[in-house]
Amino acid sequence: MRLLVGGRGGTLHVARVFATLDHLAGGRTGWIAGLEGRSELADRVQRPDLPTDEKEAALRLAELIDVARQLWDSWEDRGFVVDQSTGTFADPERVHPIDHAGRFFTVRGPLNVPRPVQGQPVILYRDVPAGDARQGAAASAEVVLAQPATIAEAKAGRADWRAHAARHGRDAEGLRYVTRTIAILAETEAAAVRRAAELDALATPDGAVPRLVGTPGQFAAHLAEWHAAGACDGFDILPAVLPIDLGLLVDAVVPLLRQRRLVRADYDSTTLRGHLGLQRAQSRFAA
Amino acid sequence: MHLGVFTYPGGHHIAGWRHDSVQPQDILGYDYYRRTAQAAERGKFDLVFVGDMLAAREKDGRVIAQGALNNIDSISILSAVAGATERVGLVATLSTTYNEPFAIAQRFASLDHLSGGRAGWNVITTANDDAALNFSRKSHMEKTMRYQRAREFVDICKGLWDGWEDGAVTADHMSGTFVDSSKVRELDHKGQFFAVKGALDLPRSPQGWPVMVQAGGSPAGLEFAAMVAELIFAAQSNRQEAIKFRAAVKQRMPGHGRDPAILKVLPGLLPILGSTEQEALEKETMLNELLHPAVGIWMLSEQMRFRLYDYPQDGPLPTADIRAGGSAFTPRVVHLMERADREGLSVRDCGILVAASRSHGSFVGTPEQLVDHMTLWLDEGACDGFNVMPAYFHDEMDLFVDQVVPILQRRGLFRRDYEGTTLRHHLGLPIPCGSGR
Repeated sequence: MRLLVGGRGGTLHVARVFATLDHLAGGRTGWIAGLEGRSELADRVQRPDLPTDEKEAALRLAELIDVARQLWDSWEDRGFVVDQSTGTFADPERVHPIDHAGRFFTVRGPLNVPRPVQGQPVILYRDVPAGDARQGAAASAEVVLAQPATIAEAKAGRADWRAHAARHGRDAEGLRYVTRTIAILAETEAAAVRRAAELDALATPDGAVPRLVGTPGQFAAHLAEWHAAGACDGFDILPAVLPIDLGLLVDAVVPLLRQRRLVRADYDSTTLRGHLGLQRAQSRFAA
Repeated sequence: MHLGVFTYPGGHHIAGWRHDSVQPQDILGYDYYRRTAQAAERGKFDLVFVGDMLAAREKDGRVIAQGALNNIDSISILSAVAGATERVGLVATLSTTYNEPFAIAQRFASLDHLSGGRAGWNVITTANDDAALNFSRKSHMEKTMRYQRAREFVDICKGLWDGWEDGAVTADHMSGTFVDSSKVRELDHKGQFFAVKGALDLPRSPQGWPVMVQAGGSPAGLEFAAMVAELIFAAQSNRQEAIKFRAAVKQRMPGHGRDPAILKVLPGLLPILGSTEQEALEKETMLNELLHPAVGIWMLSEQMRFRLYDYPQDGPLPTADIRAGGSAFTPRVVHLMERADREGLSVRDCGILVAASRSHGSFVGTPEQLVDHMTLWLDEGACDGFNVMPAYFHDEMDLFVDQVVPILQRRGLFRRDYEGTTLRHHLGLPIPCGSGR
């Protein structure tokens, strides 16, 4: 979801919307945070206070995520009591103001939504260039959406993100580095190549996201190869034409991955954190 | 007659969540809201309404133990239930004080698209110091300023929604043209509060604009309503005042170049129903006994902007002290103080009054009696329908749908089925003519 956070307000909206979604969805929510399209949007809303400088914008996003996570934590699990017999709805000792006064935002809290089912929705981050921006993002990123072109590039990116996460005192193994691939599929390789050519003739692709053109078998082998090489923890697959390629992914590719025991045969969890093998987030305020 | 239901975690009686039939652990989950929306659709209601607050209920920096919550995010709830309903309108409240017009225009255009033209926006300003502290401010924005900001905010949203003409999306497979850019106009707004340049990134939605709803009853709110509102969610518990209020807004509309005939006024109505009057009265007593006195005193103190915590609860409401405190009182508060003086109400009585229905109208009786009451309001020009505020969900909502709606239908006061698919159609409102229409 894209949420515009203008001015010195707005962090509460982000925390509130995602906390609400997490309750409605029973704990299946993640927030893809990123700076993509930022300058275009800033241009449109003409907020002079939105930083145009990349580095400033990255710092602002990091603070925004930090405040949202504090707000989700502001209700301890046991803050939402709803004891009908005593009439106690909430425990004021377990619902905390956050009193955040940062460079970009001042937010007292608490949130007016009880703690999300997952504790905190999952923080997904679009890959950012190595260096300061990545170091800042690694403070909170739990899933990184990257688009490396080669296995070597992916391994380097994954190792670098993990090293940054470790520097924040986080469990580096817990970071999920996920790579993006466009899928153009058909029953035969020749047919897939023909489909790709037809699509390219309709509109020139920008080439930013790597793509794979081939049969479901070739696609499954490609994913298995990347996985075996330790290039990534998973894949964010972009079907080139939604109904066609998604259908082939689900009906033809997934069974092959299941045979190789690379994907689950059924869900063994009800939350997004559970699917990703991530722990439920504990409130920083909980004793 | 038009009917809405105001959804709320637990129910509108502040102690409603304590009723045996309520599962309070479930009041934040999808099924809770889906069930309400589907009950509304079963009853052929015009709309489901969700409020918006931007701070927890607090006293001295701590949440209120007996009732800390108000609504969770309105558009999220309504986007979710849009998929479980087909006809009922979906009205979300969002503040113009702590939002950005571009983001809000986007959220309502999205809701209108995905619900097939059932969105409405209750446009509010936020005057709450606790909320201000959550948005990098020290205190809430002054009233005149808030309404100036609200006007500019709404103008920008309309400009963005009108930026796309009907037919701008060609999605022509042959030529590869998705958008006819000659039919998309960029807004170039520079005003006192906002500068917005560009077009919305969504095509015009089925209703053009969401139905514009307003809820404030102060003089500034009334003028704003006359300027923008197609529907008013009014807090009126007195019929004579409701008649005056409705007439006052309608009287101001031509001054803004608007036809007063289109306006629909729906006061909030909290019904407590029983198969006999006695049973209904017993239900009311039972609910008021569940009400923790601390919540009533807190709500009263907040509404009056006057700390009542140290006054004896069984003593009279200290209206002289409150008036001497000199806050700018809302019409609801003025009305309550007059009533307290007239009827000799205690602090506790007033707390119960405020907490039981949050100053909206309430009615205790049988379904037949309720319909008589509603009919009287309608016939005398006090309203065009009601926004029903069940004391607790879901039993009280089901009771209204299954026992009150059929009587309204039998008396020819309410639709037996939907005739249209959009909220504008249910309310008999015109589709706004955007650019190029």
